[in-house]
Amino acid sequence: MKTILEAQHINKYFSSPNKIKVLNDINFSINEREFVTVIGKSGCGKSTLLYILSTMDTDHEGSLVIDGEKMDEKKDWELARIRNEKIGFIFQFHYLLNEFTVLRNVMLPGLKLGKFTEKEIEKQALEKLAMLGIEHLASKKANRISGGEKQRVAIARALINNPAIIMGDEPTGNLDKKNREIVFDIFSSLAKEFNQTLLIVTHDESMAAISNRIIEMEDGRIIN
Amino acid sequence: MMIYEKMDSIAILKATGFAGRDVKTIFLFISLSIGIAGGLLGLLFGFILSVIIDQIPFVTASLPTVTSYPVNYNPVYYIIAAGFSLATTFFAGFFPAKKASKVDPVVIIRGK
Ligand SMILES: Nc1ncnc2c1ncn2[C@@H]1O[C@H](COP(=O)(O)OP(=O)(O)OP(=O)(O)O)[C@@H](O)[C@H]1O
Ligand SMILES: [Mg+2]
Repeated sequence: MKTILEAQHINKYFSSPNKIKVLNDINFSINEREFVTVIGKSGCGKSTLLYILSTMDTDHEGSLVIDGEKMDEKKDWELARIRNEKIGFIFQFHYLLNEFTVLRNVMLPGLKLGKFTEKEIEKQALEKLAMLGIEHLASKKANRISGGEKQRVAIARALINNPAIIMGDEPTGNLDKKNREIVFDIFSSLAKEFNQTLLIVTHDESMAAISNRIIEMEDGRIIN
Repeated sequence: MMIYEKMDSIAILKATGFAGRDVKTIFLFISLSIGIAGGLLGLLFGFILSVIIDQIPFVTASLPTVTSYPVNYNPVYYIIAAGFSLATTFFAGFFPAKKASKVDPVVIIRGK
């Protein structure tokens, strides 16, 4: 089976106020089609790890391999390209660009990738929105929709370039129960029906329960 | 420019795969659009005002041929004005755009 992501001996230090080690020799890999969740107490380093794995934070020791490619020596623009093409990222605070419509937000990473024409990307974006049950919101301004809807738009955006892996940092953390369940069902169907590779940091036990593998962290280490 | 209000947008762009130089281009483009629009409006209003002033009666014994306020419509002045408006917006936009390109998305996303 193909390995999508591999972390090798990752250490991370923060130097302010004094030097502390927040990630300690992190080693693991994620295979294609796997749904992995990361759990652990607040402050144990989950977000820090995810920022490193998503190539946004390069200030660390150890190696990161994504889809067979080593990330260590890559330049900023090369990493941006890899994020664009291979990684879909979903944040806790459903960040959208408020100056654009929902449709445009979903299209944006596709326009950046430039693999398809604008018309084709629009069609794909509408398909993703339809798949998540929110195609009726396409022409709305991004700041005119509810929090739960925003998070679904963010998921559609993460899917637009058919990424090798989707990463999420507590994607249900800021939602009410109803929307949490909707997003939960979306991840479950992405994993089961679409064989999407997923790496999700979560506090939600029911989310962890439906994943293929749970990585448990404590004080910057993987303990399980 | 408005980069402090746009930190979230910059972070999203970077997280979804826009490189620093893309962000710089976007911000330069915005400030130049503002510069061009502002410059054109300025030229248009300047021209309209000159035409109005040109109608004002101005009679003096020392210049018998002059009947209204003398106005110089030499295009060189318009070109200088347009160039000046573009140059100022470019410089006003350049440094913020450069700063925007250097924003670390992790700091913004974590800061929430
Ligand atoms: N910029 C920083 N400078 C110094 N220390 C930091 C910085 N960012 C995070 N830390 C520390 O690193 C540790 C890990 O933080 P991190 O945000 O990764 O935890 P987490 O597991 O995601 O927690 P939570 O569940 O609350 O989101 C914490 O002790 C935190 O205080
Ligand atoms: Mg966190």
